[in-house]
Amino acid sequence: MLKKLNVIMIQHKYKAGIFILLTAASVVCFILVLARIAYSNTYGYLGLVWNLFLAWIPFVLAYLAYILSWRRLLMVLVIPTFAILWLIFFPNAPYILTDLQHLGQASTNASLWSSANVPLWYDVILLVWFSWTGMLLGIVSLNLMQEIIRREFGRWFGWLFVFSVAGLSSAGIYVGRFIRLNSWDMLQDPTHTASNLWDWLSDPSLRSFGFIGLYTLFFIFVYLTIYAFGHLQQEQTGKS
Amino acid sequence: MKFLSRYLNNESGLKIFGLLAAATVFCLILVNIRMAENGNSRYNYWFLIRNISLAWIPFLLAFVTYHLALPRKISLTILPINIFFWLIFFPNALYLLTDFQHLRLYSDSPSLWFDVILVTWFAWTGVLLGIVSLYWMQEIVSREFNRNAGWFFVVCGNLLGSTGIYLGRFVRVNSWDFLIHPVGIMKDLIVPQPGEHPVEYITLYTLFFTFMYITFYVFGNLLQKQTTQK
Repeated sequence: MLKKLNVIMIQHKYKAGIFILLTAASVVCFILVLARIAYSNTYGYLGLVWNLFLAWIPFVLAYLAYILSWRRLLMVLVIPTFAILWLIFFPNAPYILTDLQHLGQASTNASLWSSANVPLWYDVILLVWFSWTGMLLGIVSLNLMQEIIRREFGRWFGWLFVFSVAGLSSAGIYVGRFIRLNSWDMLQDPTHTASNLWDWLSDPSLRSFGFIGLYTLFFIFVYLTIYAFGHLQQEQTGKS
Repeated sequence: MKFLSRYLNNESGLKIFGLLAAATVFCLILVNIRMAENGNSRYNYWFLIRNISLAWIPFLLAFVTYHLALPRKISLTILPINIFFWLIFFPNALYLLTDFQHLRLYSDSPSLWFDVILVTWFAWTGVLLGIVSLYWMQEIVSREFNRNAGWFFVVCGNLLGSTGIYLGRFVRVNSWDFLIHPVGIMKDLIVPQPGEHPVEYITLYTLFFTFMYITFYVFGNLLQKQTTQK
């Protein structure tokens, strides 16, 4: 039994490793917020914990989908549902990047955030921890989904999927940030959400184009760079 | 042409080089848009260009050092010098992260959302430059000694990098000040100004960079396994 577990652990050591690393990072994020609360006696940035929790949802969904996808029958029945749910929740992961704007808002509603006695550098590192953890959760979960697509439909569809998701998730971030809709609004009250979205889509602002374009490009750049970095290591181990 | 395409296919290092160069160009375009829209000198983001240029120095150093194929004897004398210079300039790559603090300093900026994505582009490009260059240096060290020495170098590099960020941010010194008057800088580190917390600061950043690096590393191994599986 233990031997079997050991074999499984070794087989999946990198996947388990990522899981453990991101869990540890989330714990650090949580501690940083707790320390800030204890130090300043205000509840500033507590909302980030919620956002990070939401960023975990697509990660867990992708993880489950990846494990289930090895069984043929499950693949056909369950994966489409998972994929839709995943797509709806995915924008929550890169969304944390935009929380950096709280740094800029702090002085305008000082009573809420009470930044007076917390040094600026602490808020910077706190937000950096959160935003990178969220972004990495997104990148890993996107990669797991890309793998499933690649196995089923081939390499090009895998990359097409990555680029489409980058665009869709940036639109999702915009909708979350400026139209203030959540992932579950889409499931809970689809008609209301649709009419809200329609108002925006029928009269898009220049800002929304800029915002979505910049985040899409950013996500693709980061994804490709991390991907190329992975292959750099591969060539290395190939050589030695 | 055929040679070029084969080279590109085999050399991920060049792909990363190209990606990061493109990202840097894009960062420059963003700053120019930003400054053209709000030419007001109160919100100045030009300094980011200087910071990203400095972030390229350790990257280029690592790139050259790693790919240089010199006779053994010469490389042994050059290597310590390169590692030394690399260590001095490495903090510049990670330093870009701390530029997020300008979001607060310019908090009455009229287009906060654009500033956020602007600084995010710069910060990620800088840190990715740092991570890739650290990887090359780690490879050099593990080639010369062994794997453990390579990882020891990573942790030390991050620790020194974070110390460098602290010195740059609070003591306001540059990489080259270290060459001109190293003793004065050391004194600043040991006796911090009131209200500064070097230990907490350096610990948090060291932890952060080490976490980032290991996550990238493990993710790379995951990708590697996928390609062998197919």
